[in-house]
Amino acid sequence: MDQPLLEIDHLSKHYAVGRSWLGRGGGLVRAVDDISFVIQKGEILGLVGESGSGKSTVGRMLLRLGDQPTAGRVDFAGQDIAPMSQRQLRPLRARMQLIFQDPYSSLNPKMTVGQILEAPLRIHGRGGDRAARQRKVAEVLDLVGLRPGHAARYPHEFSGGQRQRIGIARAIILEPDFLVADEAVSALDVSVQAQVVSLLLEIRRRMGVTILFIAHDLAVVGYISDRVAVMYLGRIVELAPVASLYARPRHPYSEALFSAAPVPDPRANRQRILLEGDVPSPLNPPSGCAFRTRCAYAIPGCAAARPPLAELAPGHFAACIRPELELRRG
Amino acid sequence: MSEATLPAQPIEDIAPAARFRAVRRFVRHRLAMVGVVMILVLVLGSFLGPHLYPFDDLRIDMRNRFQVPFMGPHWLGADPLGRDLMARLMTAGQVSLAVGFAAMILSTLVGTAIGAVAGFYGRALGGALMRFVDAMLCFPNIFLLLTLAAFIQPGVWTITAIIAFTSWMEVARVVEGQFKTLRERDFAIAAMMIGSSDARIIFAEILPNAVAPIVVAATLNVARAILLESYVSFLGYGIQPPLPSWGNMLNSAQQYLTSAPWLAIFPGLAITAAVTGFNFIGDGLRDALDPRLDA
Amino acid sequence: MTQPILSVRGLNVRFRGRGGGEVHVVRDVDFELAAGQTLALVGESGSGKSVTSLALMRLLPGEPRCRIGGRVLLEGRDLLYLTEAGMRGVRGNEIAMIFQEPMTSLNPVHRVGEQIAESVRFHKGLGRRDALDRAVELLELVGIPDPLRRAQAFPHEMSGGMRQRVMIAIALACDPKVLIADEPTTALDVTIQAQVLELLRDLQARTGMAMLFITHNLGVVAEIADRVMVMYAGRIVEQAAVDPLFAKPLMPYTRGLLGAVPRLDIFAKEKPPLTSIPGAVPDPAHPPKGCAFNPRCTHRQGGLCDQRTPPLEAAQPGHDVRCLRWREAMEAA
Repeated sequence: MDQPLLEIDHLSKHYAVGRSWLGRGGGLVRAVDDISFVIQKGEILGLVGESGSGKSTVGRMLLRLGDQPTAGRVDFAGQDIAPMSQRQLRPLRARMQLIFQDPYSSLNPKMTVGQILEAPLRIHGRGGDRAARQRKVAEVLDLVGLRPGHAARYPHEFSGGQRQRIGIARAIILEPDFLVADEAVSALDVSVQAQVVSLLLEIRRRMGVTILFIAHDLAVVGYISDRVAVMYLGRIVELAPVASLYARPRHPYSEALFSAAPVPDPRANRQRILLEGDVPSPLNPPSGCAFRTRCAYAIPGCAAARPPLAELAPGHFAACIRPELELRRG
Repeated sequence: MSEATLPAQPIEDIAPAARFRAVRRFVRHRLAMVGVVMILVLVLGSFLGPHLYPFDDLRIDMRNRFQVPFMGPHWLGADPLGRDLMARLMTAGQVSLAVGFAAMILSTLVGTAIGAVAGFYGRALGGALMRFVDAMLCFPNIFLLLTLAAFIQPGVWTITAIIAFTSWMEVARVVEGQFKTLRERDFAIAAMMIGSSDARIIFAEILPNAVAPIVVAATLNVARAILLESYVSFLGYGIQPPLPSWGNMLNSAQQYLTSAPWLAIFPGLAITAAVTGFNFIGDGLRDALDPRLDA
Repeated sequence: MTQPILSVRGLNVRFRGRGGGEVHVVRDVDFELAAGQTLALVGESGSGKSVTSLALMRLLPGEPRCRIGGRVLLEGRDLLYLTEAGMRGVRGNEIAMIFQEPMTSLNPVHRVGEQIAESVRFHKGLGRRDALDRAVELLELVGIPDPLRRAQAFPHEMSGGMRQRVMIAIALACDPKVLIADEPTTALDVTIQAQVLELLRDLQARTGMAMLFITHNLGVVAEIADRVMVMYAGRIVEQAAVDPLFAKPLMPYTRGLLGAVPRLDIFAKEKPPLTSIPGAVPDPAHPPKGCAFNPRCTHRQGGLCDQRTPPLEAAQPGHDVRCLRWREAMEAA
């Protein structure tokens, strides 16, 4: 378990916006700004943050969807995939997969479920002849709780939860080492959400796959993950084992997130920490700690320099210059 | 509430697949059906008619020069050489329809290829290709056509190629738009994630989802190609006599417009029927293939 | 309970499909809403919760596409019998509504101040100047900083949370007696959601309006509601005050929903198994026979639940449940 599968080192992704075609004017959005972390083999790392925090960008960069990162390394099983071209990445694609948020747009409406699931096997020359491939498809459908007979059907014949199972089947059919689940349960009904969460845990148990679970729902992330990273404005502000983080958050932003999360218990005793205002524009983030403009504990020193992630308890990292704070969860 | 097992119930009773619903919508589209009948009559008449009709289109019958329609042996009358107008209309129909279809196929292939590449790759390449499309669209079609026709030896194949060359841009625009949106869809990204080559993503994943608008554009292109062929042939740069086409029949009818108006009326009607027929079908397809109707 | 402001009796909504078949999406819904009270309407997609709210506002297509039956009494007047002109005087004036996606409800080419002012002018007959002043006042009321300047902004210049505040300002422009909020925080981030919920609670305390709050999020329900109605397949399956509903849910569907939500406060210890409801919400065109929930229910009794449609019964005063076996659930609890 303590063997890293992915090592992310000073990774950044910046976009130029509003620039004229001569390259003048505009600004730089720091969607992901100099983050470093490690994902251990076989672990589920949760990644939480609000919209604009850069969590989806991180997920896509680790899979190298789209362009090269602006800076930094992504070591996947020992090779740096950050500078690779899409062609160079193709053989690696079998080892890393993505589960999408929207189960409606992630399946090609013109293909049967069988064709969708067979495609990866054919592309990578796995699974032997046609009959063997179909056996493999049936096996995976069974694993995700669908019936082999469903292979002949089209995506529109399934409900949202079932489609998400098909998407998961496609992601695991090549037995990848690494899965990114990008808001994979957010679009589903509550009762179906739990089914899919259980399915992902079951798949991890059986296949030993490593998962980056990206979501905005702290409760779901906490339920499924071993460790959780909290992002704010393109940076990781806290990274800790679930038990440690959910027992005692060490960054004021995590505390605010916990405090804001609605608890399905009307008698829960809550003293809300209401954050003021909105997330600042990533075009023009505050100096020093990006959270200081909304932080209840900010001191003048917060504006001076960007605080590094420091280990405040075993395995528990937070980027805050005030480690003495006694923060609460909810 | 144990571990998830799926009940049989929601999957079994499902509405018929979208493709059949589209077919049903098309069949119920009244105007489209009118168009289908018109085109069927023209195609069958042009290609089967000559085998059933007693007169040959090239036989000269000097006794019946300028025969008035329905007033002699020739049903729709005869031309200045006494050739049977009906027989000539049928042969001309073969030429005009064949040119229309062939030009459609060619222009759709070219338009789809350029549109797909531009839409899929985008950026500088896509931008450059689409600016080229815009430039092509800036020329009035008919001038382009006439200029080219003046330089190239006219014939069935050259005319087809020239028409295709001047009418692929609309298809390219449609396809580029489709590819641009479809390649951002999650299923296209999923295809990339499983390691698909660009060719596989373009042909196996995206193209089948762009078929509907391509089919509509292609159908309308047939109508356009028939019309363009008529223009150039009417102006004398197209299909050359003695091979008849609806367009050059109009051309040779010009000088007899007052004395023998039927020589112009019937080819004119054939062109009108073909063009409206294909337009009706195109409209019907557009309505039937509208994805918003497949919930 | 005090005199209800809004009282809904036997509401039924049927849609006619293209094929001529009828889909019965809201079935025999009854509820009452008093001033200052918040009633949460909870359900998953396809439960009929949004259609219920649109039916109250008469925002559904007319006959023959859609048939509405029952009574919707606003202080004794039946809204279903008002003329369209009469209804326009009610909408946005006596009953206001806010939606999930504020961007689509705001007109992108008008400044937000003008959009608020327009509603005020229409309903209250204020002059242009006065209406704009009122708009600025309302922006201040919903907690928008620098309201005078913000009134000049266009919707796209605002964040999602700000836009939802503007929508709330428009809804409150005429001091409505009832506010219908249809998933108003679903599209927002949690920290912004917390702000908006706080704002709604605060505004309700100040104005005494009644709120019908539609959501799928049980956490939000626990935060804001006084009473809760759970809808499933077009029917109310459980209705109670918020405390007993969360403490002692009687309908297996409600229990399943509560069990399917992971808690925040359990992670220090061992993770308890997350319960999930098998299957999916039934297709409203083909509801199962008997209790609509029976194919997914772990407490179902063959020969009973798949045969009889359960009535909505009062298990305790103020706690109604639609289950043939609620007595057993009561004893177990």
